[in-house]
Amino acid sequence: MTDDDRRDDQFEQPPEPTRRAMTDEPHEDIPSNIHDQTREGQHPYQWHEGVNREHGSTDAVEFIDVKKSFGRNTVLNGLNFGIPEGQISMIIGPSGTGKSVCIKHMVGLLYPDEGDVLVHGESVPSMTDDQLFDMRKKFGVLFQDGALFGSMNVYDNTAFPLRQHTDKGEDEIEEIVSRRLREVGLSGAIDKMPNELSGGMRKRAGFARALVLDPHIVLFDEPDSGLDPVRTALLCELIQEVHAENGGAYVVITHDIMSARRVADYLAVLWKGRIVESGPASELFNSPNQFVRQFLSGEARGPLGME
Amino acid sequence: MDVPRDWLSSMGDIAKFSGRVIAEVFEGRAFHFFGETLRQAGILILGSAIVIWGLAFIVGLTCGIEGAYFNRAVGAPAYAGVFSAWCDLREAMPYAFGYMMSAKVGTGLVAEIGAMRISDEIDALEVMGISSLTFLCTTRLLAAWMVLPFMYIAAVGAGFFASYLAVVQQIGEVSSGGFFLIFWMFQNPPDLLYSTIKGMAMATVIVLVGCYYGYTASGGPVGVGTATAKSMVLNTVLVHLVGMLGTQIFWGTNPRAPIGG
Amino acid sequence: MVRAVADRAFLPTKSLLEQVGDMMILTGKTLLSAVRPPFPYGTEFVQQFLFMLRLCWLPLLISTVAFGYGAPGLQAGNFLVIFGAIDRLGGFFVLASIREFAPFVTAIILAGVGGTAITADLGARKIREELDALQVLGVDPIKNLVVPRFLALMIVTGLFNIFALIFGILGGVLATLTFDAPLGPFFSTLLSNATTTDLWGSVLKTTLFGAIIAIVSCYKGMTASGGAEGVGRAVNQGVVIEFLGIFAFNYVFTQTLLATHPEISVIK
Repeated sequence: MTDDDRRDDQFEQPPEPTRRAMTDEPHEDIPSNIHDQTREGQHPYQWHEGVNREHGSTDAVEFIDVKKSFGRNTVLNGLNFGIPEGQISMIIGPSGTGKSVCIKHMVGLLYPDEGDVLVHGESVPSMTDDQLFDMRKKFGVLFQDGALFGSMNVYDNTAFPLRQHTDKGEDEIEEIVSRRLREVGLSGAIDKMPNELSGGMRKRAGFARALVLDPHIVLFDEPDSGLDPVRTALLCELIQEVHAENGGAYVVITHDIMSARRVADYLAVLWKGRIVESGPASELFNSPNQFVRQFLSGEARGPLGME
Repeated sequence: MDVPRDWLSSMGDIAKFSGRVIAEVFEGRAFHFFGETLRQAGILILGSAIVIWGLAFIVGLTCGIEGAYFNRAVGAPAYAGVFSAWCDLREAMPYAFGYMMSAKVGTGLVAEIGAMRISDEIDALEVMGISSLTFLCTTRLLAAWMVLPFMYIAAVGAGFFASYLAVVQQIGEVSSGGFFLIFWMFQNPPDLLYSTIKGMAMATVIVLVGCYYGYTASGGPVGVGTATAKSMVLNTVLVHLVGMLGTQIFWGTNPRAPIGG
Repeated sequence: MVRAVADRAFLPTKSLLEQVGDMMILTGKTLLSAVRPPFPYGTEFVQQFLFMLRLCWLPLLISTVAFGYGAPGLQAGNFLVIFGAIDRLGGFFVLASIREFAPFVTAIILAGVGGTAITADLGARKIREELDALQVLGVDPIKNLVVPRFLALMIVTGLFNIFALIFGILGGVLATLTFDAPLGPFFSTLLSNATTTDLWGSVLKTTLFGAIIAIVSCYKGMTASGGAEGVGRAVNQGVVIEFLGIFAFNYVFTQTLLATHPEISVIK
């Protein structure tokens, strides 16, 4: 779908966004399908009592009261949080709670039904196509499984954004591409086609491609899916190294707690379309909130059931 | 009644989609990605030419023998050339071209673009600031328009050659000179043009329908497979309708024959 | 380097020949399996039969009328009008509709609509590992999946041929009306030229087309490989092979029929 389609079917003008602190009472406009997921006699948002803690820096990306539904299925229901600059943030939560949808809102691949998404203070849903393309140059995105173009080899895949968006000569491009591929450890696979690579290699190639334009914000959509624990640990290390080298705001979506312990500077826990709690990682790991404690320790008993 | 209802609801979407792609070709957007257009043209030639010419050849053979037997039956075996001239060029070749285009190119497009859609490649393009519609669909339509007229005319040639083989060599009732005399007498230049227009109209429809179903695929590999099947249904019917319209418009009730005043 | 060139030319041909060989083997197994007891495929057969009917009747109707009106209708009508012999259009329609167009348009529609549906369905089951699960549960996929589709497609294609004949002739009627010619002579030459040989030849040909479509679509569906492109590619290749096979077989059959029964080509 092109941006016009998305804008046409979503909404005309974003409503005036209002800030709401997390400690307010939960709203009563609870969508019906949320009730299906709750056990008898419980209020669906009773565990969402956590606090949006301060992270001590400006917000690169902000979500203000974002709501999004697909048909009868409400995925985001009043999402409020901010991604801090210069840190590695992680959005974690149970499977199917809208984490990928969250990422797509940040780059304007989806628009909220209500609420607003701000990138460096500018509202994404109200951008024109040109503004949107410019804004996307600030981002690098690593999709699940890499999303490499099947018809080009690794070198051409990584060089693609440079060739399309810059006037750089082939020599300069070669230098940049080689450096990035070296950073991710794929110097030996330059001529391979995507279907000749393993899952881990595809993700690393996708990572290199995401970095080529020196983006300010890098998004990772479940980079550890399908990887064994050792490869996951290596990928986490890679993310940290590259971040230390290049800076910027990194946002990682995952439900792997080990990675969260290793890598995250800032954590946001997402459940049923809202943030349960967010803040610096060290504080969240000591949180009194029952849901957060259950999820971060991987316990079977607690507010989260099999639903 | 699921299938027709499906078509009607998609018709509006397909029309809108096609309008946008065609507009982009005329606006020259595909020239941004001329390298990609050339690559697609190359793929069309390498991948589809042989199968299309192969089918054209087989159909030409069939047209040839039916014509030969028919003409023998009406007592005018020498006129077998007419059957080939008309049947081949005006009807059989466009249909053969249409059939094989929809089978090879049409379903191929859905499979390829649909796979890109579900593995997030299209989203990756958008996020990198490339208009995925232009990069994927407009380039393919332009490539088709560049390459297919020549492929079509070559297919017609293959069909004619096959009819010749069937009538002259296989059945052997007409000498080759006799065949060609009648054959050329009943040809006229507008016929080739009209036939090519028919073929190109079919090809355009097929490419647009294929791109649409691929671009809007969802639901994993299974969804891509279903979209491929659905596109084939629509393409097959449209090929027949375009063929009928073409015949009506170009030949209607004016045979343009060199006899009878 | 010669090796590389040889590989490029040889490998696709080799794989194509392998696939054709595999399909022949599948045909053999299907035929054997169909006649050997037990016969659990009754329900599946009826289901597939009805499914094909439901899926294909409308596309076939539209296509045969369109084709019948345009190709033999207008073009041949034009030709005959010159000789003042428009009444002979009926006779031509025997040749056109019964012997050629009805069978192959039926086959094209059944391959394009029914064949693709079968390939997509079986391909989806292969990707989801349902076929493996069935085998592990002791169910023979050939007997339970391929045989019913094979039989159903053969019968449905043969029957649809008659349906296509009728609607193709309707297209001819429309063409005759466009020429402002009376319909009486059209039908009389049609009926006087129609022979039973033509009719059974046509139905037999179409039934065999149905067999080709069934085997190719089932084979392609059951061997769909993984990956996002897998099922789509299987449908793509299946339909190309079916189209080529149909027309090649059509040529051979028509040639044989005309040569062995020369009396049918006499136009009365």
